[in-house]
Amino acid sequence: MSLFSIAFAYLRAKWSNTLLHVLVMALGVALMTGLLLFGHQMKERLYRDGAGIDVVIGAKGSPLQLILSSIQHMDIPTGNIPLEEAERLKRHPHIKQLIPISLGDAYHQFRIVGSTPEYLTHFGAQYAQGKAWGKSMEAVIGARVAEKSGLKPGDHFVGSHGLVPDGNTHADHPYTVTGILQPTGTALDRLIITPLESVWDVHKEHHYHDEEDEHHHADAHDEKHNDHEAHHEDREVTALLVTYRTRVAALTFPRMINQQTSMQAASPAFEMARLVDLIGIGTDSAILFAGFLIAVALANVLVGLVNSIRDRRYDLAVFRTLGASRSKIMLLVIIEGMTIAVIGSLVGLLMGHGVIEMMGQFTSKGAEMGLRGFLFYSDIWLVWGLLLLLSLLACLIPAWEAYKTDIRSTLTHV
Amino acid sequence: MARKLGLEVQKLHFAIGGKMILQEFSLEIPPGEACLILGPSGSGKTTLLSIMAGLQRPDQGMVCYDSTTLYDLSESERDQFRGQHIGILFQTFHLIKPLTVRQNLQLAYSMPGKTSDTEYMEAVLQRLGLKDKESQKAGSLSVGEAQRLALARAIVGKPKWLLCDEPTSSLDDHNAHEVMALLQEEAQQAGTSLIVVTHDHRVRQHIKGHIVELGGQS
Repeated sequence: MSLFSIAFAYLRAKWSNTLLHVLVMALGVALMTGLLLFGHQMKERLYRDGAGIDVVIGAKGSPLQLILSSIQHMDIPTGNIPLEEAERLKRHPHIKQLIPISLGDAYHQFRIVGSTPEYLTHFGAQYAQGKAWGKSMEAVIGARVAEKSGLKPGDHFVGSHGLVPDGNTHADHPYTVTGILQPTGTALDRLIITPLESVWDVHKEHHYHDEEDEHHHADAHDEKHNDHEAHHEDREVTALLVTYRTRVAALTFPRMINQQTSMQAASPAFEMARLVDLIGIGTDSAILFAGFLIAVALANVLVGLVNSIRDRRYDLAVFRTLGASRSKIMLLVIIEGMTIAVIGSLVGLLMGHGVIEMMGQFTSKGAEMGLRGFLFYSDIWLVWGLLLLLSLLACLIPAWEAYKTDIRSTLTHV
Repeated sequence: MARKLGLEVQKLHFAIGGKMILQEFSLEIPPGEACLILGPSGSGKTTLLSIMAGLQRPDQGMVCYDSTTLYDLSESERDQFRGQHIGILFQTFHLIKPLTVRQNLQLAYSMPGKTSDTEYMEAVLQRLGLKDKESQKAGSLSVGEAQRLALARAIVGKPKWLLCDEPTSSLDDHNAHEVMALLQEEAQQAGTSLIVVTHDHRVRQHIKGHIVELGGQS
């Protein structure tokens, strides 16, 4: 009969205590795992979306809002800028690439982005089905849009005004799907991309109906809709995604935009770092809490084992009389404690990964972030390893207690 | 000088808190013979048994099993020796309650790291009437069954020496007779030297061999 069988028998004999220890341990580990998974994916996602974009130019306002609305497609835009300005900037010697985007409409929860073919090229879009758009009012859709909406090449759909799903629809301006993009793991997956002209065409006859709708229209197109008709001269875009020709440009170009124009320049890298830093404070506190929970679980196991060893000192003494060495007895106690730690932490890992996977599958925000549960990061393994090491150290205390058991005095004091 | 075979206890001294428990105690038991150590409560019987089992180092003196001097061994070697060659039957059985009857028996093999003898274990279970209880938890056995299991565990590893502490102390005449008969029978089957430590004079009639009274040898 192996020491493992004996340890299991003891754990089974006190199954309610064992279950409690396993659960507390599992909860701590699950919380820690979930937070680490979420934090990593959030950071990766934020940085991946802005890859290759050095600066974003848009209407004045919050730079973070500008980045979140035009790169992550999460916030409402700060406003619009004249197309003329964009065309002028395109000729600036510091600029290698300038991609205009125009926002304002959505199909269900998916945003419609007016842009140029460079937008798709920049984000490495590949077609899963169909092909690129050919003219205005044609669109390609991201992988997640296709999955959730069921749209396929040749299908028509109508956008609704504003970036919320319940805005007024542009029923007289249906879009035609020409292609479906392969998944990219970026914001592109949940976007509908169409030529800039589509956005202008949809909005050139759009009238601002009444005050009641105003809150739905609190976006980049408000100014546009105050005009009754859009003309080529006052065509606007929401933002410009800029890639520098040289790194030196970073020193002068944003300052020039901010000081000499009515627009603002915001750096995705800087704003993302700021955002991650801001969110990081919350995440760190939560991780600290998870760590505390794990420490409580370890203390719980430790106290449980010490009490259990005291209750079972006669058994341990009997094992010694049957020929077990002190180190064997110590090992038995360690196996018992480590069984709880290993099972608890494995259940916790599974729970943590499972919850994040479910958030990605079944919640709109999780889906929007593209959360995935079954990803493995080195620091999760590190936490797991550290936890097992701490558990082992914690087990050494009751194991030492067991090691010290004096057979004779124990057996003669029954 | 060649050491004698069997159990040899020489000039044991043991005191606790200045009180002398054992003084100049010596004993020789030839291989295969039985021995009864009689003495009233407080006479040092259990201390003597602990010393003979390698559980309590004496202040002076020597305990030899065949060619092995017990207290010349390191503690872990002594544990190993005890597991291999000495069976101990406790007055209070000391069964491992969360384990089944069979698992309790298996401990006699696994704790000292012996190869298990399943055939012999089956035979012991059968002889002691525990075969149909083998999957039952030790904690659920009746007193009689628990006593038989304790005996089975003590002898299943075929120890050369079986040390028994007060095996009949709480039993009536009939049951005391039964237990002693069983002990002798099992010891004989296993080829084991039976050493019984007790204050119960009823045991005297069952032991054909050395009888030692603590405080004076006969």
